[in-house]
Amino acid sequence: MAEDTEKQSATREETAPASPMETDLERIRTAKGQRPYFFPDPNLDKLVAMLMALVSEVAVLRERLDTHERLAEVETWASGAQVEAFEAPDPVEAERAEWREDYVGRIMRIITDELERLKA
Amino acid sequence: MALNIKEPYPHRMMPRATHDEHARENIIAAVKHFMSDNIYPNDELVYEKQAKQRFVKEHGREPKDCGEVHHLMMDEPYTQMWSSMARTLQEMLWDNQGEIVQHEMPRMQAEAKALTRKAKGSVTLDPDFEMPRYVSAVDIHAMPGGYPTSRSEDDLFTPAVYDRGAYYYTRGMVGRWGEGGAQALINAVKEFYPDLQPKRILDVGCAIGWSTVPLVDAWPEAEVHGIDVGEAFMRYAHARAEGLGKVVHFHQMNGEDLKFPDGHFDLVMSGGMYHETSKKAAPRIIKEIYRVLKPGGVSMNYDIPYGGEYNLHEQFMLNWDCYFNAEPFWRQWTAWDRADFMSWGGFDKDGVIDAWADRDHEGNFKFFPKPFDELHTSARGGIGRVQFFGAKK
Repeated sequence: MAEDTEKQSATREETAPASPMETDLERIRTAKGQRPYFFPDPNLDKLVAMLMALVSEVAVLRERLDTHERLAEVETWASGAQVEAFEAPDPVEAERAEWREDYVGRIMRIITDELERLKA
Repeated sequence: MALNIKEPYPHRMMPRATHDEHARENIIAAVKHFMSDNIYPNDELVYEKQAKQRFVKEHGREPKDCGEVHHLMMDEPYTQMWSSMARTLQEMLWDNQGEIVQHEMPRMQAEAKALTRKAKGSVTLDPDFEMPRYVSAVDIHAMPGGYPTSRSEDDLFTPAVYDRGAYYYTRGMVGRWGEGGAQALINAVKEFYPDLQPKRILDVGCAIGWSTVPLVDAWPEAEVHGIDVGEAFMRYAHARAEGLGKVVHFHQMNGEDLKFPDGHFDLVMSGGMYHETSKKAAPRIIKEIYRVLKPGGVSMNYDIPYGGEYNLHEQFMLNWDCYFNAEPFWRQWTAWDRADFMSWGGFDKDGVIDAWADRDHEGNFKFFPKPFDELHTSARGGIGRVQFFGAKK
């Protein structure tokens, strides 16, 4: 099965939701079962959820900007379709992974800072 | 090293993410990875330096069981914060996959049709199937729709979400084809039972067939079957196996009531199934497995680890998912000694083999000899650590 490593993302062209077809089935977004809350005020949990969503969206924007910059090295302006078709080569993936790690570290600083004080 | 996960192998049924959806997969995995490396392992520090002292002051003694540790830690701001984040990350992971699958559904449905038209394997659905309550009452691991949902004859939503989503849930540890667990299991079978030449193999609780498909290459002469409860899961598993060019026979069936004759299989395996079945169902399943095995046949399994010899705080970490990540049977499973469990099915307790392994982010397993030499509390939810157990009939 392993012969296909190169093909890993060879299908990015097809990745774009090119088909005009849509499904009649609705997207399921809620899991059955009670949702746990952890803080005395559940609104704090909701704020954490909203904050994490924003953390994620900032990273998405950053990666999109990074794609634009990579494409700008070979082309002048990139269209949405060109961004979609972009295949990040391994070194780019590695750089992005490093960026994400640093980024998450900055977001989590207040928590790791507290740990350092506890360790001291 | 920063976590750099390859995309899952793009077999024909695999949902394909857009640029931004893929970026979202990566950041969710990166935050989860940071938590595993930096946050979960330090919960014990907070316990030792803060929480336990608070408890001793109040009660004049240390906590005596993991229930007390659980209540104590859930009052700690540190634990509350990571718990809140962990739960929300789980929801974000599935929801992002739902977005991907929603726009991929028409393509996947067309692929499934094309792939199954000339199928070499098969899928058998049971129109009278009764869904066990332990999978229908709660969506296991908080995956919207869970295992049972099938809303039409070509609904592929939940299994497709599972295929790509569970890969990212494990941060690639299952391997790009989801084959890692099976590869390690195959190695374990060949090592412990070198004479076994299975003609018929059954994967119980096979989900989308991650662990079923690699059996075909491991024993090319064998007839390979997989069963699970979800209609959509079986439909997807069938199309996926066909897309990978592997002949597998999938059946919608309950492991508590296998519709196979006595002594039908040489090897019956399971991967990550028992912790998602109930206290009543699991012993029934192992009895059924024993029944359908030939004399001399082998049952080999892997699942989250037995937690009986972990310390109280480690037990709390191991069982967090039971309370907060919709894994209602998880704690029960970590409490059962595997040799005892196998003996309830009819296997000789003294013949039960027990092997432990950790996996890396490419799905490779490293077996190690003494499970409790290397505790692994950072892997909340037992993500990295796997226990293999098996026996011969």
